[in-house]
Amino acid sequence: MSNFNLSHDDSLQLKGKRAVITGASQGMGEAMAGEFARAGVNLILIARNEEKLQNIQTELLDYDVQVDYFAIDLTNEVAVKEAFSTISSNGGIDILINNAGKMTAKPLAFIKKEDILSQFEINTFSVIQCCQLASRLMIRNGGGSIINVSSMLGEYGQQGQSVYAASKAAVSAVTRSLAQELATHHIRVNAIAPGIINTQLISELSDCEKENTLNHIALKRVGESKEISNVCLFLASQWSSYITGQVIGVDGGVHF
Amino acid sequence: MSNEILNNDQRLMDVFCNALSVSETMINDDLEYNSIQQWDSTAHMALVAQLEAEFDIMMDIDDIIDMSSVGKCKEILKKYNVEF
Repeated sequence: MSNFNLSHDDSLQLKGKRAVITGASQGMGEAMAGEFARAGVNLILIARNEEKLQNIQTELLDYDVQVDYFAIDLTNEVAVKEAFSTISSNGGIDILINNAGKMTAKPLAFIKKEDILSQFEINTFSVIQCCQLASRLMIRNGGGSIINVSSMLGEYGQQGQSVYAASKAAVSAVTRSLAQELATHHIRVNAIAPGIINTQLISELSDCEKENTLNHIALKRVGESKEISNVCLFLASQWSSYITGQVIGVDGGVHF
Repeated sequence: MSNEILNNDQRLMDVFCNALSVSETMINDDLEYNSIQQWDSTAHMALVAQLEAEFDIMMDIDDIIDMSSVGKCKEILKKYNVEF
C-alpha cells in the first residue's frame, strides 16, 4: 500500500477553506476529516452521534483548524436546513463531501418499501438537499467543489444489493447532471465510487469470504480509507480544476 | 414610508440587477421568471443565493419555486421579516 499522504502537499492550496463532511463520525468520513484537517481545511462535520463527533473535534484540535459539528439526522430536512443556515452565518463553505450512507443487503423477495425509502432517504435524497443548500452558499463565495460518495455497486451491482446499488447509481446520475447545472456558478461536482475499503465490515468477514473478495480485485488487496481521502483532496483542490461530472472509481480495479 | 423599507426596495433592486445582469429600468413588480432571457433557471439560482446573502435568510424550497415574479418575491421575503 502507498504511504503517500496528499494532505501534506502544500500545493493543494486548501488551507483556510471550509468543508462540510457528512457521515463524519466513522469509517471513510472520519478519515476524510483527519486528512482535510491535516491539509489545513476548516471543518464542519455532520453525523448523528454527538459523542463521536466531540471526540473527533478534540483529536483534530492539533491541526490548528476550526472544527464545528452538527449532531443531526440527515433525513430530518428541517434540521439540515437549520445547520446550513448556521453555516451560512459563519462564512459559508467551499467544499461539500456527501459521504453519509446506509447499506442494507436483502434479496429481492424480502425487500419492503420501507427498505427502499430508508436507503434512498439517506443515500440519495439527503445528497440532493445538501447539494441544494451548499451550492447556494458556494455561489455567494464565487464557486466550490462538491464530492459525492457513490459506490462501485452503483456501477456493477451485486446480489442482495439492488436497493443500495440503485440509490448509489442515482448519486452518480445526480452528480453528472448537477455538474452541468452548476458549472456556470463555478461549482464542480464529482463523485467517487469506492470499492472494498478496510473498515469494520471487512474485518468481520471469514477467511474464505476475504479470499473470495480479493479474487475480484486486480490489486489483490482492499483499499484504505486514506486512499479515498487522497482522491477527495485532489477533487477538492485546484489540481482538478478541469474535472467535473466524473464518477471516479477508487476500487483497486474491481472486476466481476 | 420608513428609511428601512426604502432601503430594502433598493437592496432588492440591486440584487435583481446583479443576479439577472439587467438595468434597473427592467425591474418592476410584474417582471416574471422566464419572461426575459436573462431570468432563466441559472439566474434564478444566482438570484436566490444573492437574496439569501443580502437579507441573511435561508429560503424554503417551496418559496424558491413560488418566486415567479418580482412582486411575488417581495411577498415571500415578508415571510422572512423583510418589509417593503
